[in-house]
Amino acid sequence: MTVSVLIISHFKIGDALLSATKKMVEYIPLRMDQLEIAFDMPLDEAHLLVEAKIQHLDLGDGVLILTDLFGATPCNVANQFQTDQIRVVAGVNLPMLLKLVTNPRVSLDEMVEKAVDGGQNGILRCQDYQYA
Amino acid sequence: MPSQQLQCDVLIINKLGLHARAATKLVTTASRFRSEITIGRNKDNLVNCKSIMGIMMLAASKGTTLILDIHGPDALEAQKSILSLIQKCFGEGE
Repeated sequence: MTVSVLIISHFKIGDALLSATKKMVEYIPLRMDQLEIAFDMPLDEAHLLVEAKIQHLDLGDGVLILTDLFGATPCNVANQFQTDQIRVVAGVNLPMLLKLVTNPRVSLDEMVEKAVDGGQNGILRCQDYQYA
Repeated sequence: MPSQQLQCDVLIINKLGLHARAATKLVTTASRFRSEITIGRNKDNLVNCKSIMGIMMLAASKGTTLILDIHGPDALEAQKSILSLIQKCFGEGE
């Protein structure tokens, strides 16, 4: 089972997150790609780009789309594609991506839960984790 | 295969400690085994060795001694692999 992952974001956020993830693991065990939605990009153009990326990525086990900000255009465009085979999670961060690449062989529904847990668990008050 | 429980201390010896790349390798290695694998600074506060944020939150720098606890059918193989990874500085050279 191989779910594919597509990051849709503002500016170079997805590109930077993907590059950092690739630096941290020797081998990415998932099909992963990213797409930047420019602020001035017409919606129908964004829709076509996302559609093409999904078609390219999907191996039959589904695609998880990660977006940077709920309610923003990249997320709104992604949400238009939600089906049983395509899920969307907002608030992508590095802990979320590391959680996914260390748990690659799960179903799409399980991957949604891994993404949400991984992303939320990565937000911490550092003062609570100081070891002298 | 009979279940086995193994516990040992392990010293982090690489220069950068359990940073992101090392932690990812540790999680990837631990995830290859069926055994339940936990690790931590003391035996009352062990974290899942197959969880990336669990490992990162140990904030284990060079010189930190951790307790590695493994329980399951492939405990010995898991312990050997994990100790080897740590003793080889996660393949980082120093």
